[in-house]
Amino acid sequence: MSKRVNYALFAVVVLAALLLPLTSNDYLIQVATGIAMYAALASSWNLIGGLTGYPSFGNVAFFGLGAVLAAALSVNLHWPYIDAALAAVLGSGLFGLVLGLPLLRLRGHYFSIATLALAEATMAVVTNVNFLGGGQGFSLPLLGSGKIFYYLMLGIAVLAAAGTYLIINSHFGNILLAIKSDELAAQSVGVNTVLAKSTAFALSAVLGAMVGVVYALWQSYIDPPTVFDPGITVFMLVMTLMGGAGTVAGPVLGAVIIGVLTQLAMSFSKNASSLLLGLGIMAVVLFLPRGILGVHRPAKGGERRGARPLRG
Amino acid sequence: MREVGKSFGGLQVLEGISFSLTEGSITGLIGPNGAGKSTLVNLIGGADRPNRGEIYFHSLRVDHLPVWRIARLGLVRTFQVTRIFNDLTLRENIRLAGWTGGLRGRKLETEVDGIMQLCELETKAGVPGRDLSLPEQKRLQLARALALKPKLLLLDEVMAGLNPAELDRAIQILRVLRDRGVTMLVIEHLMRVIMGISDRVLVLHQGSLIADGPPEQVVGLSRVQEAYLGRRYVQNRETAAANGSGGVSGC
Ligand SMILES: Nc1ncnc2c1ncn2[C@@H]1O[C@H](COP(=O)(O)OP(=O)(O)OP(=O)(O)O)[C@@H](O)[C@H]1O
Ligand SMILES: [Mg+2]
Repeated sequence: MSKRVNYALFAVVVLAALLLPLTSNDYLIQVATGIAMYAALASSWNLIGGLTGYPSFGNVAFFGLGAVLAAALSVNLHWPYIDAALAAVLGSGLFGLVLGLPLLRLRGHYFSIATLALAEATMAVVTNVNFLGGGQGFSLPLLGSGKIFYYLMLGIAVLAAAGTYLIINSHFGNILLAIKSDELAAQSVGVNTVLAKSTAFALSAVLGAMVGVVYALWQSYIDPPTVFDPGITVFMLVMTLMGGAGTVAGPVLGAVIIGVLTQLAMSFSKNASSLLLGLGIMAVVLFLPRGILGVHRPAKGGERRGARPLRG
Repeated sequence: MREVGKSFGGLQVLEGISFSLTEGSITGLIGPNGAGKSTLVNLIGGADRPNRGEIYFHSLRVDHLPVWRIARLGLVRTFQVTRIFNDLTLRENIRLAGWTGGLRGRKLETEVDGIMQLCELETKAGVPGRDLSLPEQKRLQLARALALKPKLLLLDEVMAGLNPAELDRAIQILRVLRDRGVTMLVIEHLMRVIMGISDRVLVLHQGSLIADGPPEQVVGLSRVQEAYLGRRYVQNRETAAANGSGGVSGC
């Protein structure tokens, strides 16, 4: 597809999304808010998991931390929510940057398991710190109509997609793709890979936390098991892989498809939705290893080999 | 480098390696399979750490620096088993190296164009790394290394698997580089290449340097021929030479 077609498509999708609340159908708006939320989350996962090739299983930590920090600052310290939200986003980004330094030394499965443990540990800490709401969580004042949250989530999703587009077309994006291809080779051309990976992880954390602070206000009640649910990370990952990891539109497309399918299944039975998710994962792995938008290139040397050891 | 040693577990791969390279010269590094040549490149490039000894670049000690810092000093290597960026196009592969090397804007693009021309890769600029043929990947590795403006280039069998015409072209490129003042350490099994371009040859055998000198002199040493061809062959040849017949013509 040419650039112009891509821009036109992007404009049409955003316009349609902006006009959606005209329907005034509360149910529809609620579903669309959820889809926009997951489009943003999946895009945030894509930065580290898709572009950089580090499959994180713990990104829900940033979402949860953003929600909890914003709620704690506004409820306990009576900060205006916008200030609390900013601090929470910055704090989560810093958290990602600092934790990225040790975690991103690990590769492949080890990285995945370590990030999973990170998310669980973060939840454990939050559950045991009263200032962060402990096991009880927080109730926040009910605020405005559903439309506001729809626009907020949509705004973050558009920001995430636009940011991904800019990154992919920048040197920083090339650096991330180089790291994904071959980390030792990237170092050998002078790339400070630790810094680049940690930056990608921190950006991913910032986006995740932005979604989290809006989510807390939208739901007006949050507790650790909800905002640190590992299932949220699984959704981000599956949506991205289904749509096309490393692409701009892939995570959004994945969020829309899975979001719509889940709603359809839910109208039949609650259990059907998890069954559908399971089948979706299997279908992606089996039939679409590169995702719907992943261009299938008949690679001369066969499929890309896994991560290569850090040695010549 | 001084008294450098390296072992993997109990296996002593390099022992007591000391040498220094003259600026602007081409040094050939030869030795049988498993002699430790690639390991030496890994140590100099920072991909592996020596167990003993010290490595200096000018007066700066580099054996504890991260790989990317060493590369930015201008100490640039290629890999025996090609490592290119599959998800980037050929041009992006080279451009990335130029960018980390400090080039920006028009200067960067001009430099990338020049390098692609030198390595005869212009027609492949938009091809993703994964779709390049092996000889193209080898040339791309060299091109990418050049984009970093290397002061010292470590080339680990960049010419293996090339056909004679490609080989001549590669040798020509190295000569151009030498004329630009790039110091090179060239690992190659093909004696024709080593003899043709080296100012000096180092011979590595079972982890130790067994010879060091001008190419013609080094290949004449019987211990070098022994390492390469086996003791029996050398003895036979010496008997033959005593009987007045010909000599060895490389390998
Ligand atoms: N990471 C490693 N772990 C254990 N042993 C290793 C490792 N890397 C290399 N070796 C061993 O070190 C020895 C030297 O290997 P090296 O690759 O340096 O040889 P080489 O001279 O480059 O050979 P070739 O001409 O085949 O490329 C070999 O015996 C090899 O098996
Ligand atoms: Mg080797």
